[in-house]
Amino acid sequence: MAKVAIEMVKKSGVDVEKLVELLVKNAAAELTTYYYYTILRANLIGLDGETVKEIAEVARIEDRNHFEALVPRIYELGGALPRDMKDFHDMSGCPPAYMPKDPTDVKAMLKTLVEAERCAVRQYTNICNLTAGKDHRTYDLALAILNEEIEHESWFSEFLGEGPSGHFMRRGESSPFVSKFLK
Amino acid sequence: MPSPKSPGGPQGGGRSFSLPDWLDGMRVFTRNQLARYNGKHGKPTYVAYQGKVYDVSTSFLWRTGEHQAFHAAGNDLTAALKDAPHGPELLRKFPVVGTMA
Repeated sequence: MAKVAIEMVKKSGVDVEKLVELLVKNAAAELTTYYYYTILRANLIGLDGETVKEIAEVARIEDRNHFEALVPRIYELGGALPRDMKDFHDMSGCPPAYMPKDPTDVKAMLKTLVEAERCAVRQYTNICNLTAGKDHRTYDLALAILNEEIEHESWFSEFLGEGPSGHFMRRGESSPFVSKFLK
Repeated sequence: MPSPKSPGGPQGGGRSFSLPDWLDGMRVFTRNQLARYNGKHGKPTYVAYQGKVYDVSTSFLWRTGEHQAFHAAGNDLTAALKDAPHGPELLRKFPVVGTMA
């Protein structure tokens, strides 16, 4: 536990217990999304599915990275992950990204993917708003994750034809924003 | 056309009111009554927003009667939603079960 780090955050007016609860919820959302995206990725086949598979895979790996990056901050702030993974799943800050009933419906899969990313964008925007100018380390982490979630949303949104976003697929390593927290 | 209904207050001078269709059969909640629907111990999960009471019991994100660590069911969330990272459109997916007194 980072005693002085917690003290500084408390002094800034942030409710540390509530913040930790929110971080755990988001860690749960990232890990469960990683799991559900694994199923979606496996079913993204055929001419339409294969075109989406690569970005689904990048989003999947980056969501797992987000989980890895969140965990140290949870413990630094005096929190912990639940003992039982079933509890962890059910406390997720975002709904499960279940496979659509028709596993060949690529558009339905894309809608699932974009909704999951939109939930994440809302979540990290909220954490940034709660910590801006107060808890600098959590803010820095949430902002890094937010940058990647916004790109994920854009990728899936473009495949749905919602409009151009100006974003392109990753060139080079994954998690360009979050990787500094993984070293 | 909806039939004229009393909003519960005294009416004078033979005046009547026409209330919107969605109010038909709706329950009117006081703050104390709303607070009972906190999603705990099997109770339904209700929240109020701008005078309407929504049943969010089926929402994954309200399953414990709490939402995103900071919000509890059985409350009026009109003020809280101003700072939320989403608008009322997400709330409006759920059924309206009443109005606030």
